[in-house]
Amino acid sequence: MKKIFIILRRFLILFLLTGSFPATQGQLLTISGYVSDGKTRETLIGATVQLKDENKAAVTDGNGFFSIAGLRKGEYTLVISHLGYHEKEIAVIMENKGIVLKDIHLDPAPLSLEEVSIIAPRSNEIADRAIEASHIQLTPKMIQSIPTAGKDVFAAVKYLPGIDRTEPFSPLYTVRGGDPGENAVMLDGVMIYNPYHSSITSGIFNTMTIKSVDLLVGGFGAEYGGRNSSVMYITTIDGNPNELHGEIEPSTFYSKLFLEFPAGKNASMMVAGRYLYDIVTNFIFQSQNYFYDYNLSYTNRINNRNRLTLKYFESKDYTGYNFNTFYRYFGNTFNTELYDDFELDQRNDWKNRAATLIHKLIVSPGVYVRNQAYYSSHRSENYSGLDFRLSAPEDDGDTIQLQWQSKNRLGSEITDMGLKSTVSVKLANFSELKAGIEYNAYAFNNSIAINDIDNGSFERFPSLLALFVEDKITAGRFSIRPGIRATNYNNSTWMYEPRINAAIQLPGQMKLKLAYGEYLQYIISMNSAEIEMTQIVDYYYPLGDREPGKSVHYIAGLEKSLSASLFVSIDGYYKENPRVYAFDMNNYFGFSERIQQGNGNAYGIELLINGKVRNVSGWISYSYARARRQYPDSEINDGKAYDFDYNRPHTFKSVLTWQMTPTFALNTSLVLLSGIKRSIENTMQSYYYYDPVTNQTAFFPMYTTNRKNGARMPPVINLDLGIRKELLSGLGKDLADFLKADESYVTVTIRNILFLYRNVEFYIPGSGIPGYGDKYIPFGSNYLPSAGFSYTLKF
Amino acid sequence: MKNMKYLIGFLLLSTGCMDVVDFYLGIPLQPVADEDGFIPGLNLFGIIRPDSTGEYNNSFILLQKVIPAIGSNDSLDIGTAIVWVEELNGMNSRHDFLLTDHNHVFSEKGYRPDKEFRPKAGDRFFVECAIRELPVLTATTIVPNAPVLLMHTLRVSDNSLSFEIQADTTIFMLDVYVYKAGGLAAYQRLPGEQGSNTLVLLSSLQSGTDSIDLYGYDEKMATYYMTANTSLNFNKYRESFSTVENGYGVFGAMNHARFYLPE
Repeated sequence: MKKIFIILRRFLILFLLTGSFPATQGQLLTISGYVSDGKTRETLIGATVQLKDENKAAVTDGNGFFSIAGLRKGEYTLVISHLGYHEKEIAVIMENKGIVLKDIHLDPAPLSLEEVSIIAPRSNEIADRAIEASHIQLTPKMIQSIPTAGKDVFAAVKYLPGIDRTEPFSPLYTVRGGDPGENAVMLDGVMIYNPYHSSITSGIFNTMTIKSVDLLVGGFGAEYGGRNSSVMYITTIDGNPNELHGEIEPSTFYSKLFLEFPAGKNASMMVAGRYLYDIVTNFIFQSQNYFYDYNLSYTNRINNRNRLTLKYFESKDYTGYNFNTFYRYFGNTFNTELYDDFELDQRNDWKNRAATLIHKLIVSPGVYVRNQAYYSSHRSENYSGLDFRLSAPEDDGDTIQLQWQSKNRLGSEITDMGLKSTVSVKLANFSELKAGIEYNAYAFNNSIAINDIDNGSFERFPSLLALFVEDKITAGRFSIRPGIRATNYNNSTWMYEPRINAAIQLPGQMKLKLAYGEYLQYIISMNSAEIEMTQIVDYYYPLGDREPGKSVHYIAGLEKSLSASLFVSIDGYYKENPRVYAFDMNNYFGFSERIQQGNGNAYGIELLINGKVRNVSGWISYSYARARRQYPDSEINDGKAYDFDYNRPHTFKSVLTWQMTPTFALNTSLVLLSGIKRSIENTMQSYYYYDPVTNQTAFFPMYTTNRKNGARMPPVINLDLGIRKELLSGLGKDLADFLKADESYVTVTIRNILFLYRNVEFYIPGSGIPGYGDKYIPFGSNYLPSAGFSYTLKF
Repeated sequence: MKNMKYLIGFLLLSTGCMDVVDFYLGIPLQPVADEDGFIPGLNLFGIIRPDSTGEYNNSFILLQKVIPAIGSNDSLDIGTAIVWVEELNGMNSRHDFLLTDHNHVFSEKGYRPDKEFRPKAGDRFFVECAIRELPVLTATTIVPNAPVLLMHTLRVSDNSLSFEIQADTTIFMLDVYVYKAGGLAAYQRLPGEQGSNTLVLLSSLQSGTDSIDLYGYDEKMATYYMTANTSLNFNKYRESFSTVENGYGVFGAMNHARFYLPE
């Protein structure tokens, strides 16, 4: 390990020295800087910086930073452009050394109807994002355009190819046949554990605070690790250093607020929050269901080379359903005495916190350093309890005792303190070297009680050291980025994850992308879906002496520009999972005995058309995917292979926005999905409860199966509609004027507009129900259309 | 004739209405199973315990069968089966278990042994249950030792009680009943530690507890109770509850000890 540090230090010194030498005749120079919004001062991601009359350009990265290398002494004109902004030209004179420009501010330009689009702007240059084979970017506008996404990131991503929800009422998502616990979610570089709300099965991130969402759904580079399936990187707004702006969405039970304002010279703050109090369920079930989340951000643009940012985030969820009070409302309609000995209780309680300090430094025009310290924690305690007893007389005079009892509790606490530093070096226009180091100190505390039997708890304090290096090399139409990530978990042996991405610009506006990567995961998730009605959180569990989970990605993709604003891509992937872990909650005692090692694979093909045609923007996608798992030496499905839990062979998804007028937009989302495999019960068996004191029994007939995922659910069809109207007159506009808001609009969402019921969430065997004894009775949540309404003020 | 038309029309309409309702509710959208996974068999709940009620041992066996989840009008109940238990102690003595309550000695009918059946800790038993048209079910169990409360570890305060139960490789699960003046003051079920003493901690107790009953279960019973998925759940991988061969259910054993707390 010491040797690796020595090598890294020597490279860093070499590049720093090289970057700071004065230029001599023939020496190449670098120009760099930030591009930002002239009004809000938010850095712009994806802005194009081109040298006029030269074949050199760059695109701003996730920090809003660009760098163009390989310049000689002389005069140049930079042309900076970004959709939605006036183009700007800047003259620069390169003399003896490279230049770090002052922030380049682009002035917003009003979009014509034809320019309004929900799709993120793309660049035809080969830049950082252009090399990622499976990289999707979501903008807040895209998120808001999906009618039933509720302006939520996690609801929105499920409309993208390769990404699907897991089970009904769960916010967890699966990516290309991976476990939900194999997805990393990062907020400004901070790993967030269980970033979900239970009340509305959505994410804990306020869309008002989001600048962009980058999804790497496979083949991602060496900079990211720790998870085997995907990375969701969310960048939040820093705040407007010039003037106060904000957005308010008031409601009787779900309110949102967003403010950004100056906080001193060259400094800005952002404050945002949401609060939900579920009046309806609180009235029916007399339980306190609520959540809140809030973001705080402070950014100081010290000078054009130095930026310091402090961010804090917190969220809290509590949902509790006690069905004992529910039956009081029925009076004599039902035999409520039946429920005198009936308790059905569900409680979910969790909290997230994250804090980070980020320092960005332009050391020299070609050297960019990002240092970050962070703290992230998650604590959850989830309980579900059922206790039902009934004495039923039989015809022969005997009495049978029916009883159904189940009490399960799962607790999880994670604390993650991290330090990381990344240096990007661009000294020649054909090469961009990136290297970094990250150290994490963890604390875990997990506990399980199944069937009211405390299985104990454990604490563990592992650490993880990661180093990475990658170099993006560009030669004409060809670009390749080899990299390697080295990890050391708990001071054990070093393990290596080679990665490589390549892109080739082909004739006819086509691009071929290839990716190969090996991924290791030391922190797994205890899957609890089988003992919880709905698994809402991942119960993270650190592997001890076991080898980490492993996944190998092979990806090939082809992209083509059909026009300046319409693109088509087709991606094929194969994921080999030589080592995966599952928790078998129901066959073993104790924590460590329950972990079962297995293997699996996943493959698929995804077609995506996205862009804009006239006033209609959005995307249409189709994918075919398969995934399998097997735990050979375990009781899971008797050690036999089975179709992965959330696999859907065919998915069709479409999100389209028709900007009918500058102030009126119609959004639609349509999904047609194959049904997933479920473990449909095929046997009725009585389960006995025994009282050793009285030596008596009670029992309850239960439905069981010995085949995991042995049946496929029917297909899913969902067509939803959304309308967004900016108010120009009327009460809403009057109220906005009174509150001095710049803009007010209403959104109306209509779900299941075509009365399509076809979304079966689960089945119950119909035995005992006259006329349906030979059928499974379907239950779903989307039988009737429903409508939602919201009113928003922007200022 | 006119009435017949109305009748036919009504029948067609009502049938059509039901079809419309079924269609809307999604009844025709049945799941497609890869194969029929139902395996018929007996469902047994049997427990061997050393204690007795009067002159009859408290051990018993209950039998039902499993039925398909849909498409069956059958009952879980069965007729009278042939049940016998053999003691695997070298002498291989066999005891027939008959369906009886021994003239209301016990409150529920079950397959019960005769007066000569006297199991004790360490005994191994084999059971066989047979009824026509179903596979013959077999299983084995070992009677665990009686749990031992280590009195020197007993700690009593105003509202809590703690003590240790001696480590025992034959006990895999424990039921702890704490009594006060003949009434139940606290109950706890916990796994039996194999390699170390089992710590029991009971809080929120009223003072004045006077006795503790400990019930220790063998591995089969512990598996049945500690790993069964009895959660309120649908279409999840809920395995059949079985620790027996060629059937379902559990054939286990337990032992019991009572301890009196010092005044």
